[in-house]
Amino acid sequence: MSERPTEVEGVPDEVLDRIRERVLAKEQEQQDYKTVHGLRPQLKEIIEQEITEDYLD
Amino acid sequence: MKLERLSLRNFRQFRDADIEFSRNQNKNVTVIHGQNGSGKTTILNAFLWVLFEELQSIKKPERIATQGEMVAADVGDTVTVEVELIFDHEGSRHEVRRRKSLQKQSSDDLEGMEVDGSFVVEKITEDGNVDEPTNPESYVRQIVPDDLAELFFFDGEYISDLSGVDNQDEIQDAIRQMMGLTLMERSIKHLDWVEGQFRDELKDLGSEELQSLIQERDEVESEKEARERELKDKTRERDRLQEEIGTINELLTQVGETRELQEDREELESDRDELEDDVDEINDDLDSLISDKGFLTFAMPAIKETAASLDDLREQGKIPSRLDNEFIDELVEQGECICGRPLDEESPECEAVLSHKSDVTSDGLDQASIRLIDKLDRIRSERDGFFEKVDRLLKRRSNLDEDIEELSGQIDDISTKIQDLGQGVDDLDTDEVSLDELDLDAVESVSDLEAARNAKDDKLSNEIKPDITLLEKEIEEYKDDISELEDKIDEAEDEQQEADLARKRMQVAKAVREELELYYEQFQQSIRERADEKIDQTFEKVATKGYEAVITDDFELRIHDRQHGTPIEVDKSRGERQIASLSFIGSLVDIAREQYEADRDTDYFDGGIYPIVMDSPFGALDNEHRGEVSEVLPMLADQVIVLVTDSQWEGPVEERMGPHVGVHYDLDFDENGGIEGSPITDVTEVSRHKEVAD
Repeated sequence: MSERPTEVEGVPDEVLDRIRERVLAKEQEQQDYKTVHGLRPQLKEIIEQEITEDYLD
Repeated sequence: MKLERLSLRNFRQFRDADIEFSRNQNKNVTVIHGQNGSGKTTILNAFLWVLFEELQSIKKPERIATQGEMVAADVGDTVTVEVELIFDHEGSRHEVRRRKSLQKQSSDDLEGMEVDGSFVVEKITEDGNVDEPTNPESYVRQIVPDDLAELFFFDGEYISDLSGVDNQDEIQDAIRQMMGLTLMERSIKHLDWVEGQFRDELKDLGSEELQSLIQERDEVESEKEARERELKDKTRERDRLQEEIGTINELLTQVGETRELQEDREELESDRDELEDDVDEINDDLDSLISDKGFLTFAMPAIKETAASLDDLREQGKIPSRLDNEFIDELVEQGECICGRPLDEESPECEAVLSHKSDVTSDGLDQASIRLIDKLDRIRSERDGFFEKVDRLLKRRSNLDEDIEELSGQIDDISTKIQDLGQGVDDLDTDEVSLDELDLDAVESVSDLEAARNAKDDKLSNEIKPDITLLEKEIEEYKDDISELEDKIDEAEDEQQEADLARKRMQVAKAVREELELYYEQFQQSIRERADEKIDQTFEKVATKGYEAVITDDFELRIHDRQHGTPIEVDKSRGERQIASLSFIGSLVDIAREQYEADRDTDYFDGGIYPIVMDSPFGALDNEHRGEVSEVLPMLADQVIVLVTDSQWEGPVEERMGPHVGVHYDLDFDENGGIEGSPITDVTEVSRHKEVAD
């Protein structure tokens, strides 16, 4: 992976990498979401699951 | 995706046909021969129908069922159409089956009305387990995206359009889809949306309130501390004054004439203190009473109005007036009447209450009405009881005040008597008490001492003690304010934490999106270069010398004239365009295969094995190009299925593609050979290479 353009204070790179992988996997899983699901892939839930209160200062 | 078998039952002119495809690596071509109108395009459409329920470039697409079967069926009977495709995908055998039951509506009905249908996908894993995906449509689209299907299952009649100026969207979409770019585009777009969602949450969780509350709490806290300091000073002063008064009292008991007066005074003051304690107790009782029952005074207008309405209803006979037996039993059990009188067992009061019991029981609305009336009566009674208690307490306090006033008068008289004595202070034993310490250096007589005592007592009673009471009250109020503010701060802190979390999540969504955007740019460029190189290599092998196929920065497929230095787009013949399109499709399939086999560590594009199924792909090509394309295509794709006429096959195509062919089929079309003279096509296996049985 290329060098990350944006860092997030307090959130390790491996967490951001994991979120990216989960986002892409979810998009892959729901690539026909418009025709089949009618809903956007649930990416918000992925970030909510990964970024909890533990990452607050 | 490696095709194994296609089976057709009552599908168009195919009543019962099975085609098993060659899957051998060296003999990867399956050729299906058929004259014009024999059903080559129908077979191509069978793939699209079973996978996506689509039909393209076909006459009368509404007639799915075999004509002969529809003609032979009676009105109301059904004809079942079924296509099954078996293929291997990523190590698992897949059986995809689409079935429709069409009911004949009239004697000349050749279309039928769908009365039943099913679409089933079975995935058989290497260990023999069978899985059925819950959403088979979605599952199939994951294996073969439907917008790419036109590339893998294509009609040669239209293939040349791909490289036409007006059809570049298809090229762009195909490359993006195949290489995983659309996946990244969607991820970027959706992450942007998610970022907006977190931003909205942040807006709803205002964070300024917390700072304001903390500041307010600090201000109230410092006010309270200032009062506490003041209270401490006042308390100290009170103690000092009380001590000094005590000392003076002691001095006064040393003088014979004043001793008795002083002792009387101390006794009176003690009595007065007790009475004042009683007054304090009454004040506390009044506070509690007003707090508990004070609302009754404000609620009475509404209660009276309700009671009046109920009385009206009662008078009109709309609700019963009898008391509820159960209610009376409750009162007796509680041992207290609604008027507050005790209901001791067998007492006259208890007997009187029990006499209201009725033998007739009530229920429903009657009972509810009775209960309501009784409750209102009880409230009225409570309200009356409240006023009685308040009056009683106020009267008692007033009596105590009078007693206190009388005692105070007696105490004042004693003071006057002491001052009138004119006794000197020489006899006082002041060894243990310094008058200077008492700030009494000018004292010459008992009268002066008493005056000083009175001054201190005045200050204590009229200034210090009221100040202390006021300060204590203020401090309690500040404490209540602080407690209330701290509750609000706790709430605001919870919100603040939610806001901080929403902000952090928003930053994360942005960071991941920006990372994908950056990589998307790099990856897109790399894909473009890779596709450009591969397509040009393929095109160079088969096209007229001097031309090149180019994928532009905007992912458009262009054919350029290499001979004029700077490439110039040329107006191509249909054949040249067809070559470019075939090169393009073959190259994409090849890139996908390379990626799949390389097993590169990437989140975005795993690649895949895709077949090429071509219907009449050589129609517009001259013999030289037919030969070149025929040689190249089997090398680009893992599996090639070609639907051709004999005239297209014979010559250079057969010569160059022939060595790669594993299976030959013939489509035997008979325009009147079916039921009641309907058209029918039989599929016959002509030859199968011995290596094909893999």
